[in-house]
Amino acid sequence: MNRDQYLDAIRKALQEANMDSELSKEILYDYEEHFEIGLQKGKTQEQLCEELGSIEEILQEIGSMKQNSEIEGSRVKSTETGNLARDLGSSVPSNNMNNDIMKGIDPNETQVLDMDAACETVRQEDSGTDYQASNGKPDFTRVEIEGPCVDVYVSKGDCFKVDYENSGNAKAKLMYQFYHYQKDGVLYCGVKENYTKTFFRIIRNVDISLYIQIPSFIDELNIKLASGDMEVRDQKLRRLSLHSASGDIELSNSAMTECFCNSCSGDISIHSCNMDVLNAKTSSGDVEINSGTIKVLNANSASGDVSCSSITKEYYLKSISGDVEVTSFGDIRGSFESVSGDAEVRLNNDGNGYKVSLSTVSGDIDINYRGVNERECSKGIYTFGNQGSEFQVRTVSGDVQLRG
Amino acid sequence: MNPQFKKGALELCVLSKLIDADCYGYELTEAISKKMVIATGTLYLILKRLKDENYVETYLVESGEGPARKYYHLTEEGKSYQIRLKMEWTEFTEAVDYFIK
Repeated sequence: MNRDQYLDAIRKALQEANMDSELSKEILYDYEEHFEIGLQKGKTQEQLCEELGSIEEILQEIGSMKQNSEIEGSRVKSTETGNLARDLGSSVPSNNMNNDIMKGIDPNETQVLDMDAACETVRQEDSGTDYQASNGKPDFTRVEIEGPCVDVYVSKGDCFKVDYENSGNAKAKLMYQFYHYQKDGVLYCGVKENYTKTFFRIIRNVDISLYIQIPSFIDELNIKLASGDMEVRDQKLRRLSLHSASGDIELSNSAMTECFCNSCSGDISIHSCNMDVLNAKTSSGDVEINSGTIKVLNANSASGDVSCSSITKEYYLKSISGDVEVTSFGDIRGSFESVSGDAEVRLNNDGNGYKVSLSTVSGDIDINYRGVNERECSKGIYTFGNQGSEFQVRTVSGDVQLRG
Repeated sequence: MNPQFKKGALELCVLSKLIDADCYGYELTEAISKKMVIATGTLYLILKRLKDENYVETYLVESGEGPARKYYHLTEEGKSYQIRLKMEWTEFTEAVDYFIK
């Protein structure tokens, strides 16, 4: 098959699928461009046809695309029936080309990046070595903090500064050492074990804290702790990632594009934060999210509760044995799941209705929305009014409740 | 391969390729088809769909010789979507790995 035959076949297929002509033109343009560039690169027409794939395969794809767009279309229509609250969580237009990392932050509060004034102060208080290093331009925008058993407190500051505090006994002071170095635009700092001074690794009665000040020119912060809590507040970052094996994570008054919080046995609590995507995961702790705006929220706990009351558009909440509890604002999408806990969604979308799939194996399903009270419903798909919100709630043995 | 499954995987490949730099269609299809056997033609339809959903944007760049090239750029929403897909994918493959080992 040659180029013209191939393109003809696709043109015909598009016509038969009743694609609108603008769309067909666009799709055909892509294939034409592919041929042009491919030929230029020395491929033959036959070769290119083969690579692009059989007409049947493409036809199939076009068919499924058409179906999808029809479903999409009808869904959009049903949500577009005027609701202000719906837009609360989506203030950023989708065609936003600029990569402003500070978006979502009060525009009145313009941060001047005073690079020259930025300095780095690193102090090692306990050991008495108090020194200042490299006064000058910041040549790092990412900070990596690591430690085996430290509590970390992060706040905002004019310059990058770390206070190391070891309140343990003499042996503990000997065993752990504060370090920091800089490489390829990244500042690494943390606490490590001092193998040369001790033979036995006994993590006991250790009381080490790091107090860290992050200036505005930092755009990425990663903290990884084996045990120890972290408290992060007042940060404006592009990316924040917090990992603790056994500590709690507390994050407040911060804004960022993406945020990852991971704890094995600690609680995760997030308060008044502005984010595009949040992924919070803990095995045995609770996840609690209060106020703030989070566009896409993934929260997961194996045995703890997951509760959330932020302005969020898209939820993926899951607990195995804990409860899942949500108070939402505006229209929402997503899923809420618990295996043995209860799942409760309080939908505040100004009566814009819903289309929900509710299911449980042995629990009860109750709906109380806009004064319409239905108790002990059977599992299935329920709709109300404009169907502005679309989500699913699932449990195995817990109760399912929808209110609003 | 299960078509639904394949579609999701390809979508993730396309989005991930665009994370680092904008690409034009041919470049993208070459990069992906080098690593796996696919009908590259379907990638254009995936790109079209991603564009309709505002996950990517396009712009034309005149090239010295030959036709103008349509470049694809990942939007902020596309970035979030990629992260989400990636997470789902890892979770899924981890589960599959567990059984096939």
